[in-house]
Parts: sequence; C-alpha cells; structure tokens
Amino acid sequence: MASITDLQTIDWAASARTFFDDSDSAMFVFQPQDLQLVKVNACAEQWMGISWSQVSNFRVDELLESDDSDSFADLIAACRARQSFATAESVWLRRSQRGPLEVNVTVGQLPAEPEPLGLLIVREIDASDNLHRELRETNTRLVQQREAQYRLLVENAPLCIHSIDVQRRLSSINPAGTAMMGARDPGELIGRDYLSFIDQTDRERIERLLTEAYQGHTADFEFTCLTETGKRRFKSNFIPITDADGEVKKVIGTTEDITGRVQALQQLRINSRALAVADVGIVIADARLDDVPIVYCNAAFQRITGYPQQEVLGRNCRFLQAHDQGQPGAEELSEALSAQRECTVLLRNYRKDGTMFWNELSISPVRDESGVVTHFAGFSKDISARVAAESQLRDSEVRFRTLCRDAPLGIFLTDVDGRCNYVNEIGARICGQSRQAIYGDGWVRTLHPDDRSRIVKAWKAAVRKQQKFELEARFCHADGSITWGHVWANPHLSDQGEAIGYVGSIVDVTERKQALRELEESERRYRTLVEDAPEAIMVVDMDDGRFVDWNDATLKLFRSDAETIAGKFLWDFFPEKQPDGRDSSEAAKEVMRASLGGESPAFEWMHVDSAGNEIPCEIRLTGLMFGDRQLVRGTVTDISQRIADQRQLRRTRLAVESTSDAMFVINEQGQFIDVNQTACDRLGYRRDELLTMTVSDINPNYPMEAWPGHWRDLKEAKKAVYESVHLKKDGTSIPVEISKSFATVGGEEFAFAFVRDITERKKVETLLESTQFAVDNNVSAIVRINSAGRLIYVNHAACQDLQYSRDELLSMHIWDIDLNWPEDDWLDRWNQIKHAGSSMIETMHRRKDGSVVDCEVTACYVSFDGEDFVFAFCVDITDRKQAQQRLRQRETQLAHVSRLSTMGEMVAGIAHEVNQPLYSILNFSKATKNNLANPTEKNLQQIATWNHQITEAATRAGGIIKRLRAFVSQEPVECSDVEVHSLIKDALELVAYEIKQANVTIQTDFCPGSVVVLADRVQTQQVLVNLLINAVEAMERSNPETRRIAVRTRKYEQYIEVAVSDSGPGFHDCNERTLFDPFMSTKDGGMGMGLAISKTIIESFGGRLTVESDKNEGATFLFTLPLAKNHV
Amino acid sequence: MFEKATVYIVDDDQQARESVTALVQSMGLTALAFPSAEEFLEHVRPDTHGCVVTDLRMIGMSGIELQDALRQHEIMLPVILITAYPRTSLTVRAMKHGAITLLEKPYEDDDLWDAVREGLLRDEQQREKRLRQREIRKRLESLSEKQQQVMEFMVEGIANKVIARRLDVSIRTVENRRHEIFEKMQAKSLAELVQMVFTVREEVNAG
Repeated sequence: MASITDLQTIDWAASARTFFDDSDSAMFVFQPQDLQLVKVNACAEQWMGISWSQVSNFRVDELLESDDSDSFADLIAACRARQSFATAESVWLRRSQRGPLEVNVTVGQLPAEPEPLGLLIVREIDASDNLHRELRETNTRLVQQREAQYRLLVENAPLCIHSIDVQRRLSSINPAGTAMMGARDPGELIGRDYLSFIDQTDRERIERLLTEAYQGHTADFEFTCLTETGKRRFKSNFIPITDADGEVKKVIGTTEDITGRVQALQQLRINSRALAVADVGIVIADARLDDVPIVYCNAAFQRITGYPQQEVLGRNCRFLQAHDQGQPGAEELSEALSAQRECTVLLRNYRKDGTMFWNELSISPVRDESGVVTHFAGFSKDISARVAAESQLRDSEVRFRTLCRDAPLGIFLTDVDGRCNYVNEIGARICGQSRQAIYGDGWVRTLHPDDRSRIVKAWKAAVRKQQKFELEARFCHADGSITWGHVWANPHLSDQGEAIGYVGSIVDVTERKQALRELEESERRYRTLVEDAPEAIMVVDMDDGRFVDWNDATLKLFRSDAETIAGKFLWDFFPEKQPDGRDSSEAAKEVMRASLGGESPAFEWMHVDSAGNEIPCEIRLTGLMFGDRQLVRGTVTDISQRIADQRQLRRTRLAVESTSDAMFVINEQGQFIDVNQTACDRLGYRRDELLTMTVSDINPNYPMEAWPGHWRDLKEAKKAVYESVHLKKDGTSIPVEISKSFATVGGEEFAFAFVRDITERKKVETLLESTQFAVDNNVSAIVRINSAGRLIYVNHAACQDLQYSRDELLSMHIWDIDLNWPEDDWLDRWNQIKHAGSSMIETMHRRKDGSVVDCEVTACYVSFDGEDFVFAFCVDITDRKQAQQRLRQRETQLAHVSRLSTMGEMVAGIAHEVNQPLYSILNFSKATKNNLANPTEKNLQQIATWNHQITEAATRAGGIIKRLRAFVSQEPVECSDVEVHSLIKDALELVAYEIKQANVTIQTDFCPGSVVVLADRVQTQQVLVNLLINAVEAMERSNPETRRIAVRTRKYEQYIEVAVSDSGPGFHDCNERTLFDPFMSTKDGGMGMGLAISKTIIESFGGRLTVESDKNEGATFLFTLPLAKNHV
Repeated sequence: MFEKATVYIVDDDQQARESVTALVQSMGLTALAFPSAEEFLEHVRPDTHGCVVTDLRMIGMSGIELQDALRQHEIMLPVILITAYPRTSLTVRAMKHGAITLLEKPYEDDDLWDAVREGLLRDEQQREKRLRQREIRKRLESLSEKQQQVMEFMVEGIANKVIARRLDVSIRTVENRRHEIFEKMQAKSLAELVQMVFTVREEVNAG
C-alpha cells in the first residue's frame, strides 16, 4: 500500500497512472467546487460497485457517512488551508457493496490544469487492526501515566526508595535516599555493592534477608547504615520485583532514617535524668566515635567549666584536666569507660579562665536496643566548696587534736547526751583508766563510789539544761589510790545556739588538796588551845563511842541538840565511807588509837549532820587518858565555805585563762603587766616574752610616740572599742577587735584590753560581698520578700524578666506579679514556707506588659537580724513546660501506635471472637427458619427462645467491637475515675482468645469491693493487655498442663497494687535490668516497645511498674496506681 | 428415617453449643450437648448410635483427639468436625481417621444438614453391617471342624477332588460336606458363601 509520503513524491504525470490503478486503496478524484466525481480507480470501482461510466453521477460527499455532516467540508477546508493532505479516521463508507464499511480517509489536492483536482483516498480499517490500535493506545497512555506517577512518587518521596539488581548492586536511588546517605549525587552510590552500606554487625543478617528476597520473600528490618556522614539507624524493607517468567529481577526497598527516633528515646531517658538534677552539668559523649567526643553539654556544664558549648563539642572530656593529667580519678574513669560501666570520680579540672575546681563526675553508659553502648552520659558537679570545707574541717580537727594532746590539762568532749567521745591522755591518767574505758558512759565507773550517784545526777541535770558544769571529783585508780580532779565543762554551742556537746577539762588537784590540808592542820593546832573556839570541840569515849562532852559549835555543826547528841554515837555522824573510800568507823578508830598513843593526828574528815548532809571537816585529835577510860578530844572545823571560796577563785582564774579573747593588762607606759594564755597562743609568744614587751611591739597602729595620747583618750572615755591589727611573732598579722577599759586598782592605773580575733568575721564579710554580687548578677531572678509580702530586694535578672524597673518592683507586692500567690492567702503561704524552711513550686508570673510566664520558684525562709524574709529564686520554665507537653503528646502517640501494633498481633483472636457469636446467630436463625416451616406450638416456643439467644449473641459481638474500638481510639489522654476490677475483666475479655488458644488457666484474686483510681482507662487497659499477652507468650514453651496466669489486686492505704504472674520460665538477671528499655525484647518477633511504654504510662499516672522473677518460678509484673482522692 | 438416632454436640462455647443444638433440633432430630470432649467420652458406649458434631479447638481435648479416643474405644460413631480455621493438614488427618467432613464455620445453609444426614446414614449402614456380620458369624460357628476345613478350601476355589486328595477323604465325603455347609450357611451359591466369609474377615481386619 502506498503511503502518503509516496503520493507527495510521485511524479504524477509519469507514474500516477500505475499507482492510481494498482493501489489497493480506493481513490476518488473529484472537482473541488461541486464535489462531482471525475475519476475512480479499480479498487474504488470494485468496492463501490459503480462503473467508470457512472462516476459523474456521484458527488464525493455522498460516499461518506459521518455523524457530523460538515465533516467532509471541514476536511477539504483543512486540506486547502494546509496545502497538504488532511486525514480523518473511522469514517463510514456509505455506498459499499459490502455494506457499511469503516475506513480511514485522506483528502488531498492533485496538481491539474486549469485548476487542481481533489483526491479522496479511502483505506479499509481492519477490525482487528482497530482493536489492537485502541489497546495499544490505551496501554501506552496508562504506561505513561503510571511512569509519570511513579517517577513523581519516587523523586519526591520523603523516604529513600532504591532498587537492587541481581548482582546485589544498588541500581537506583531517589534524591531523598541520596541525601540520607549523605551523598551529593546518586552516581556516587549507584553500582556499589548494597551490603557495603551496611554496618558489619548487621551485614550477615541483611545478606540472608536479601538472598531470601531473590527467592521472592519480602522482609522488613532495621540496620545500622554506613553513610557518608557516619553511622545512622535505618528501617528498611525488601520487595522483590518479578518479571513475566516469575524470576526476581530486582529488589526494591524503602528506607527510613530512624536514628532520630532511637536518639529521641535515648534523649528522653537522658532528659528525665537531667531534669532530676537540674543544676548538675551534663555531658554526653559518643562512644562509637574515636576518642569518645562530647556531643552534648547542658547550660550548667558550660556554667561550671566556663567553656561555651562550641568549644566543648567534639573534644574528649579530659581537656578539662588541662596540664594536670594522670590524676588517680582519671585512671579510674578511663577504666570504667573501657569496661562500659558506671562510675563516680573526683577530678581536679580547670575552667576556661584557668582556675581549678573539684569536679565530681559521674558517668553512666547509655545503651541502644541491642545493648551496645552508644553514649556515655556524664554528670558533673562543682564541689570545690565542699572539698574546701572538708579540708578546712580536717585542718581544724588536726589543730584541735594537737592542742588536746599537748595541753597540760585533761580535756574531754561529749556528745549532746553527755556521753564522752574524746578524752586526751592526761584526762585518762587523772581518771585512772584507759581512754577507751572512759568513752561513752565509761567515765562513771572511774568515779569514787561515794561520789558517783551525786556526780552523775548533777551531770545529767546540767546536760538537760545545757548548763555549765563544774565540780571536784575523786577518781579511784586500779591501785587503790585516789586522785582529786577538778572537772569543768562548757556546753559547745552550734551557730544556731543549740548544744551539740560539751567541751571540758580536768585538772589534777590532789596535791593542792594536800597542801591545803597541811596548812589548816597547823592552824588547828593553835585553835585547840582555845576552849571556846568557833570550831566544834567534842570528847568521845573511845570504848563505846559515846559523846562525853561537846561545845555549842558541835551542836551547830551536826544540827543537833544536847539531848539528842547525848544518846548518839560518834559514827552516827559519819557517812558509811569517807571520800577516800575507807570505812568511816575503821578509819576513825585507827586515828583515835593513834591519838591515845600520844600523837595528835589532824586530818580531813567527812561528817554528816543529823539531816544527812555531808560536811567536809578538818579534825585534830588529842588523846586523854582518865584512869582506864580512854577519851579522845576532837577539834572539828567545817571547811565547806573554804572549799567553796577556793573553788570560786579557781573559776575566775580559769575563766580568764580559758576565755577565747586574748587579755592584756597594760600600764601607763604601754607595757604588758599581765597576759592570759589565749594572748600567748594567739600571738605565738611565750608569756615571759610578752611581759617584756609593749603595745607598740604588737600593734603597728600605736607607735610609742602615739601611746600617751591614746592613754589620755582612754582615761577620759573609760572604755573604747575599735578594730585594729595585731602582729604575730612570725610576722603575719591578724585583724582584731579590741575592747579596752580603764581602771584604777590600788592607786595604780591600768588598761584592760580584751582582744578578739575577727579573721573569721572579716572572711564572712568578704564572702557576703561576693555572695551579694552573685545574687545581684545571677541569671535566675531573685527577689526577697518581707513578712508583709513586699518585695524588698530584686536583682537585675528579676527586673529584666518581669520588665519592670527596680524602683517599680520595690514598690510592689508579691501578689502583683505571682498569679498563684493571692493577697488573701499570703499569711498561709508565709507560714507554710516558714514551717518547711524552703519549698519549690511551679507558678506563673505576670510581666509588666501583661504577658504570663511559667516559673519555677524556690522559696527559702531566712531569719536575719530579727527580721524574717523569704528569698524566691525564679526560673523561667516556659520552654521546659512546652517540652514536657510535647513529650506527653509524643508519648500518647507512641502509646496509640503501640496499641495498634498490639491489636495487629491480636487480629486472629479478634476475628475468632467476632466469628463465634456470628456463627451462633447463623445457626439459630437457620433453626428458626426450619421451625417456621413446621409451626407447631412447641416449635414456635423454641423460636422465641432462640430469638432471645440471637439477641444475646449479637450483643456479645457488639460488645467485642465496642471494646476494640475503645482500645484503638486515639482520644486525648484524660484522667478520670476508673474502676480497676472492671478494667481487668475487660482486658481479660480482649485477650480471651489468646488465652484459650494457649490453653492458659486464669486465676483472679481481687481484693474486696470496688477500687477506683485516677487514670486514663484506655492506656491502663493497654498496660494490662500488654502484660497478659507477654505472660501468654512467656509460657509458649511451658507444659500446657501448668500454664497459668494469676491476676491479683491488693488495696493499700494510698494505692492499689495489681500483679500479673505467669508460670513461665522467668527471666535471667541480665534481662531484668534492661527489661523496661525501649527495643528490648526477649521475644523473637517483638518490637520491644510494650514494657517501655507500659512503664511510661503507669508512671505518668503516678504509679510504678516493677517486675519480680525467680528463675523457673515464672515472672510477676506489679504495678501500682494511686487511689482516687475521694475513694481513699 | 432417623427418628431414633441422636446427634451428639460437643463444643466448649456455650452459645455456639446451644445454637448447634437448636439447629439440629429444628431438623427434627434428637440432640444431646456436651461442654467438653472428656464429658462426652464419659457418656458414650460402644453401642451408642447416631453421630458426633464437635468443635475442633476446645479447652482440654480437641475434636481430633476426641475422634482418636472414640476409635481407640472401638466406637465407630461418625464424626463431623467444625472449625473457624480449616487447615489442610488437619483436614487430611481428620478425613483419614474417618471423619464425615470438616466444616468451616459459619457453614453454608445445608452443609450441616447434609453432613449429619450422611453421618447418620453411615452409622445406620454400619449397624446393619454389624448385625449381618453377627448373623454370619453365628452360622460359621455352627459348622463342625471338618466342615470348616472343607469350607476353607472351597473359599480358596479349590476343586472337590483336590480337596478330597488333600484331606485324604473320598470325593463323595467332600460333596456331602459341601452340601451341609451350604445348608448351614444358608448360602445359595459359592459366590454368596465367599462373600459371607469375607464380610466377617473384613470385620476382623477392620477391628
């Protein structure tokens, strides 16, 4: 068949004839004006059944039938306009011998004289031709559409789409995938071995999956990908694409980067820790990269170290040690890092400005779902202050011990209950016991038995009232000797004025006692000469001990009268034992005998008067022989008063010596006349050295020439208090406060100077200044509030945060800015804080422009100089709040996804559960139909029963659907009152099929009554379903006879405990710790999110989820939920 | 036709059990329901007639296990199994062990009716067969030892004279005994006799 192009090129004159005649297309030549046919070819004659001669009877347009009558005219017009051929398809040829024929027609012009002729070429359309064409066209169109759709999808998909050829090479990848891999151009990736992108740890597994994919299996999996920008966690799949003969020609995959998701979960875990320790510096280092670089640090860390974040990231933590490498803590740290375990070390670190600080660093490894340590989280705390305080404490401790050891007197310490917790060597020697024997209440046993109860009573009374304590005591030594000790103890007060123990001293006064006794004895010898002496003089019969004679002083001494004493014996006025422990009557007889032998013994003696009071006495005896009567005259002196006087004197001296103020007695020339021990200790001079010196030697403010002027001023003013400086022997100086007073004693003029060391006070003042600076410039807003609620101090940050000027704020009350601190409640709040000392609350503050910010306020109650304040530290927590809210939303979504996933696992069961009642309904309805065919009365009664059962079955099916719908609904989390037991029953219904399927027996043990908690119903049910399914799956390999799940509830005062126990194999220890981590699964097909989400859910309602497991004894999951307030 | 037959229904789901019972009752049959295979086994006796409709999966003994237990007790009750999830392997196993059918629930309108009818029919046939076997056995037992010897040879299709030679008796004696055997067995032809003997042997083999 000739084509149209042929027609155009053929020389009409030469070969047209042949072409025209032999063509198998019908051709008609016609007059363009009147469309009259001029000529037709053989083919046309044959088709149309018209002969050459009849041609002129036809018009060309009569040949064709068209829906549109204008169509032929249009064709000609088109042909004319283009000066070329015009074609129309699917036109019906009207006058055909073979009936109506569908044809394609072409109209063109033939060059002829005088004007061109029209040519109509008609070509038959084969019916099958037509069909093929349509199919082809449709196909092509569809293919094109699909291609376009597919390309758009692949090019713009937000996830990676790639294909792998049979050689396992990456054969295509879309732009998103290229970007995910960190490549700039797909060309960098295409053609590479697919497995070369996969981390070594996952390669074997993925290779297996890929091999299976070539056998036609699809696969979903996660893997660690080696991208150009480092390792990432991807989730991908394999979809095998088969060609016509069923062979897999390539594998397509879609891949999603879930690193962020995994990291987000890790972040979540880290964040929750971080929140708990807000002011702790936190660093996170990537364990997978070389040298474990820091990838994150929080603001506190930057604050502590002084390094901004960009200078911290990418470096190993050890840069903080600067030049001070090789510390013991650092070694321990690097050991812990390589062993991947937690540890806490103390390091000397250096801030950016070079200053050292003590860093208490705790690190803990963060593991991914496969248990591999991916990060280390470090918690950094600047504890320099603590270390400094500890070292100071140690120093002062050392000073104290040294002092105690070297002091010439016994020193002891007690706790607040009066139990001895320290005594020095000398003290122990006086007591006559080892130091250990004295500790606690041991000292009581060293006392002389006669004194014991008295002293213990006095001591207890003093301790109770926190008073000073002072007395003389006899201590019994192992060898029987006795030491007199002067015991003195002062309560040791804390800064708050509470006694925290006693500091005391013991001085051995035995010798002094003896000396006094000797002195008094000689005096007494003289006094015996005087009959009417003030001493008591009595004559006693040695044989029977009766009083023979006595003077008034004797009666006075014994508080007795003449008649009474006449009937008494001498020993009636003795205590049973003398203070030195001897039996009184034995000792008395001994000395009396000695006096009868011609001696005149004089001794101290303890009498008791008739009321039982002890009277320390001094006695001198003279033997009197009257024939065979042995009489002894005794001169007895009451020495109570004397002992008291001596004690008083000693006390004063002791006070002067042991006062913490240095004391100087100065004369007119400025010379030191007397100094106390404190003065010597403080200045480092010996006493004899100081007594040769003058004021100008130790005080640079008073050179010799200025002294007389100072003396005059003092004499006039009588008193002066001023701060000055003292020079020590070693050349250092100490700030002091001097209180001077002027006095005249025995005609001589003296100045008494009490000098107080104010080094500490100066330090405190300096500290206070720096603290104030810190407060003024703190990043937190700090305000001080007085008891009236007025703001009396605000720092710079407070002004900035609240947008007020300082003056404005200082005229305001706390309720003007704090929305939760209304004026009416102020007093209650004040008292609450006062009671608690400090409290932390979340609240809202209103700025000057009316906007409201979320704040966390730490309020501390401070009492200072008789005034009470509340310090409030306010931190803007808007961001944290929002983050928490976002986190909550994420968790809800995650819980929902997890529920859907659980639902997916349960789909077989659900289908069965729904199928069962439907099956029953069908049976009943068929039975009904059968009975209706034979409507006897009995049959109709049955129908009524069955109808009722149909209703029940339908209700049951509806109930299942309702529970399911509730379970997968994505309602916002809403805490409301939920009855726990009905919740458990519903959950058991949901998993009824799984339980039956696994042949598990359910035991329930509910506490009596209904239990209402405040929680979200759906989420709590999710937890239960999760635990139940876990329990069922845990027993997959157990003996079917013993598969058992026990659900137990116990109600406690504030919460309910729900326990789900299985009789499965339990857990190994290692699992138990990581059980609640996300992506941790002991099941083959498990996603590992169930328990992690359950834990999050339970904790969000204020409960706890824990697990108890004994190997081979099954596992028990327990969770608690707080009872709803009105149901406690 | 099946007025005296009972359909035993075993299903652990109460509602399903009641619905099948209703359906069977509506077919005009006697139905007796059991909540577990174990309870049904307590009840059933070797001469129990009817057929069993049991759920495949139940708490405790499954439908297949019930079928096996019945066979072990030589109880030939036809079994119809019903399951929500027919698996080829289970179906094959059930059919091999002589189940009537394994229906997938919910089944088509008349499936259960057809199955039950087939079950009861088969039970009926089995019963008739057993009655006949018993009768034949009784006749066989009435044969003397010598007659039995001859009958054995006859059943093997051995000619009279060969029998005579083997037993070392005259042909006449063999012919007499043959006649006695036909009479006692009430057989009209050798073919009928052979069929009787095989009916009994079949039972022995099947047992």
